Amino acid sequence: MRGVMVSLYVLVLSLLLLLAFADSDKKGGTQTASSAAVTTMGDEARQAIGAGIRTSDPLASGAEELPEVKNEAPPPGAAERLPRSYENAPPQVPHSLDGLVPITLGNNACVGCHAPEVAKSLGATPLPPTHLEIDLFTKTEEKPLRIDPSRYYCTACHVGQAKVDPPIENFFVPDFRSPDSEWRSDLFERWNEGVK
Amino acid sequence: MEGKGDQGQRPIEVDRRSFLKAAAASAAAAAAGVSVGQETAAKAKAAEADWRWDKAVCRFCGTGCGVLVATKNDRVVAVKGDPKAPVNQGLSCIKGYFLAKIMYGKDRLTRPLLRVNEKGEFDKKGKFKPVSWKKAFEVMAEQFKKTYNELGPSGIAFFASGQYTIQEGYAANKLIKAGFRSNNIDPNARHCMASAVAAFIQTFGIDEPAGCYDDIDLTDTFVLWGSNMAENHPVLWMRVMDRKLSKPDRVKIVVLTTHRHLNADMADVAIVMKPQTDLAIQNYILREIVYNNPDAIDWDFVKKYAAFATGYADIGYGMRSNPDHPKYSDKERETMIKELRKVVSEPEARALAYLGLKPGDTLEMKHRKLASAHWTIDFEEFKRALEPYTLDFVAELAKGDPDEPLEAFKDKLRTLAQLFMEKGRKVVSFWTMGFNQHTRGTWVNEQVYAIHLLLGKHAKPGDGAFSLTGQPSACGTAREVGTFAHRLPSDMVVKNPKHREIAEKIWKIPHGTLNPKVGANFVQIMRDLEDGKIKWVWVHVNNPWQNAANANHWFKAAREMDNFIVVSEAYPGVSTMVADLILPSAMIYEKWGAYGNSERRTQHWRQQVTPLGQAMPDLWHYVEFSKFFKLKEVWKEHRLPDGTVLPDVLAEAKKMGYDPEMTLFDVLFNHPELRAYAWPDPIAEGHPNTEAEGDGRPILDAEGKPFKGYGFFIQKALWEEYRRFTLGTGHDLADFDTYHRVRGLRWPVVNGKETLWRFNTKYDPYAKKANPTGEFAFYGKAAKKIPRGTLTGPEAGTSVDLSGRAKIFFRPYMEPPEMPDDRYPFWLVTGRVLEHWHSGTMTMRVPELYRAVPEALAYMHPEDAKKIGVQNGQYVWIESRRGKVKVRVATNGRNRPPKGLVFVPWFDERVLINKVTADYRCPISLQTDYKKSAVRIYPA
Repeated sequence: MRGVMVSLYVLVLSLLLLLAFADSDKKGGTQTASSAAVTTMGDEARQAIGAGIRTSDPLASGAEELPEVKNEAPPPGAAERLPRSYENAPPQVPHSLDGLVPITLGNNACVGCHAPEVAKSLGATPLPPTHLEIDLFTKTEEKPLRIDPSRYYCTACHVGQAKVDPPIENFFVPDFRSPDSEWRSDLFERWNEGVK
Repeated sequence: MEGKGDQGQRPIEVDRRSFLKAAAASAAAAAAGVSVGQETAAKAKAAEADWRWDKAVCRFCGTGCGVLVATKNDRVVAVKGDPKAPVNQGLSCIKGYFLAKIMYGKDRLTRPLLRVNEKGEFDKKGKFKPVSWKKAFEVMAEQFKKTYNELGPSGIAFFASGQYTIQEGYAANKLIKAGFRSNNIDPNARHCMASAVAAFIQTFGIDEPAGCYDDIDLTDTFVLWGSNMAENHPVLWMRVMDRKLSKPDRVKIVVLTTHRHLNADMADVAIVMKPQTDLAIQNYILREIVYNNPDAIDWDFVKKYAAFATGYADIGYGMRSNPDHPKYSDKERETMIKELRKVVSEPEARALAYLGLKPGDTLEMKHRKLASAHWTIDFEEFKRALEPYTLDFVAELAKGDPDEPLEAFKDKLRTLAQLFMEKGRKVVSFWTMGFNQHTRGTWVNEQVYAIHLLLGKHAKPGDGAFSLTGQPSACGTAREVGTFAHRLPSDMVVKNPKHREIAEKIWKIPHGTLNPKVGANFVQIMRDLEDGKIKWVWVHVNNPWQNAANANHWFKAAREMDNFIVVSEAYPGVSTMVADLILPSAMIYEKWGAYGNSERRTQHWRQQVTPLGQAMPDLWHYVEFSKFFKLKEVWKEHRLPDGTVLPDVLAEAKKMGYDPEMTLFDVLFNHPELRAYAWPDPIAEGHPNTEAEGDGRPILDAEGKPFKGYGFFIQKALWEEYRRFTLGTGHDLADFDTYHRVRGLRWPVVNGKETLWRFNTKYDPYAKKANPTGEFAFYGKAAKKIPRGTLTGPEAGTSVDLSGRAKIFFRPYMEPPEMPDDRYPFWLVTGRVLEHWHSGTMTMRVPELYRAVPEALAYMHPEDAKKIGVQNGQYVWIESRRGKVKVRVATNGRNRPPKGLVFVPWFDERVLINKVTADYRCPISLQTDYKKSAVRIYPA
């Protein structure tokens, strides 16, 4: 497992290089789009044919309105932080993931920048204590990783965001109980809140 | 026992000491903006007051994570992983975090919608207009009766679900089987785990896995056979990673896949194989054990607890039996003809040499109707059958990446076999759709058990073959309740007169009411719609026109044939587009419910909020509809198309105190014994119950009267009635209230205790009872008396009693019915993505998830794209013999296929990939193979 740690440090370096030489033509897991792909048909017309996101005849091929995709997500370090979707929701990834994924057994580029020790100097959101201090599932004496290994698969919860208007609006209203909770997590303190 | 074991039951405690440790450890983090401190916590406690937290279950995959749901002002405002839930210990995946938001898409269906003409009358060619619930049910019942009187019980059908609550599935099953006397109910779970079920029944005589998720924390080896857990069971994958990275040198992960994906990226060994060759790889491992490492065989286990078996090979592919069907094209017929006969290829000739077949011979599919027949063979026969599967033969056949050197591939296969055989090494096999969606899906499930059983690595902590189920309640609702065309609750089947009698007693219906003929399965319902044999269909928690393969036929069947299609739904999609009537459904936390997950864990939740608009729980849809049917209309004599007569049971009903003028509502859902479960009930802790008492909305019911509730705790009543099916059968469930006090229990629940490892006498009281002095008992009752025979067939008149034993099957490698050729040179594999659930109707309405993956992409090799003349991001057509879609190419995404293969997920209704896939199926399980069709690809 020492290999993982070594490669993490190597990664921090390679990341900095990546920032400098990011290939702007390459598209990764998070494709971004410039213009909206909003369904053009009005609500009533859609209701009249029972349609949701797709409004063209299901039997027709090629008439679907697919989003226009362009690669615009900024590289890590250049991206603006995104607000939380609701209190203690995992934050989305505001930057491009080009060259940063896939996560492999020996190679986790996310931890390279988001480990608390380095996050500040890189301007990255640091991993919260929920990811570092709570030992889930397999209990071991030694800690081969800085993070709890159950948290190693970052993209299970943190996903990139394309610049595209969703075809259907959502009227969920978050309730932020403190003004700063739109921007940061206090889940560690609230870990057992609501547990009966 | 190392690892967590019972620790999984304990809540994670973040005590004062570790809290301080955390604060110190993350000083840098604090400086960067993460707050750690007493002040915030105290502030939070004060602010907690107007949030109500309650435990619930995630409504997505089969993992079955426990979640905590926060509500405020009758809206869900937050969701988090439940730290006390043993399954996930506080984790969630990205979909789970948006459980609240899926309920609040702007186009939630909030009123019944009916296709009408200008006069407001039902018209199949009309446009949808909002109607009252009364009008909706009246038209629905009128159309039902038209078909029922013309075609009888076989003319109507329900598309059921692995996603509705146990009580909803139970009510639907009771309504159609006990009420309408039809077995035409089949769930989307047929597409998902029917092959797993068939293999469980054939191998063990009883459904569902021996092991549980604790195996993950205890094993040394994970073998993933056609399962992309990282995307499709993300939290289980987090547990796998937790195990792997906690003991990185000891724990190994091997992933078998047709294309590199997230799981392969995180594996020690990633084996990229050609589609369908899993059968050959399994036989290579078995051969390696039997021929080269016989010491690895656990003969004590095999002799006491197993038996060798095989079945027929010439069983077809679950296609229509008449390739000349007038609604199919000549191109389609090229594949359809293989249902009746196929030319034996070189590799097949080697694999089927024991049948005396040579390359170029025609294999007539003579045993299509005996697909599930099987018999015992002796070990020497088993060994003889494995002879062809040498490393050379299998590696050549199975290597999926043309760019990988053959020797490197051979090394991987050797490593896999070695890991399995190593004494003292615990091994868990996981699989999902790669096995189940397979024209030999039952076989490939059985073969993995064969490996584990031969090595004695099954039904033990950390050792076992573990079928993961895809949907949140495919186990709990579809399988355990038996919402299938052939099943009754608790592993009983409609064909068995004793089983029908048990069901009739519990349902308090006259003897002889239940229909003994197996009904139409999922794909058969579609084909019967196309043929005009079914003319009335009701869809529940399911999107059949997006999830059924060869979809062009079913769109035409729905819109061009004379039929009536009802869709109970939360959001519009392609199935509502072909519907005639749309009924608005309450969503997950707008109703009471229960789900059963992959590890046999049953979990309940309370209603948290009021449904939106006039949406009502699906349970209410069934119960209201039952009011339209008098007993005399359904319990009269029926003559089925095959000549079977369902007797008139009205006289018997009278003896039971039922008047022919009573309705199905009176008998099935409003029976005094059900009404005995009073509402309110302290277990509700003040939570609402729309069905029991209404919820303050001015809903007018089926009769046009204000709905004030049924006046009793109907969800509890149905649970307790259902529970009676399970007690004493090895599927035992606990009482309703218990589940509201715990984080789920794994059945069988005996004397209040759950069962972690079935068939193992140390853990499973049923095994102990069946074999008080031994270590194991495979006590499942089905298919335990079978003939004896040889590789070529059974010996007439023989019968072997396999009570207490599991079967080690031999099954040969055979090709799928369609493979790439000059005209259609690519394999098409379909599947799912992490961020979207199934057909996307819920998750595409969550902006964060939509932006994460805004469309389905065609993942392909960059050189294939170059050859076609397209670049990453450009559109192509993907076309099969059946249909085509336009889709954008991705050459460097998360899925990276080898040359010659394209992967397209099916969540996007704008990219209806199931117009391209084929409806060939495993002939035993009748589950469709969505993983292998031949396509051509060209620029759009």
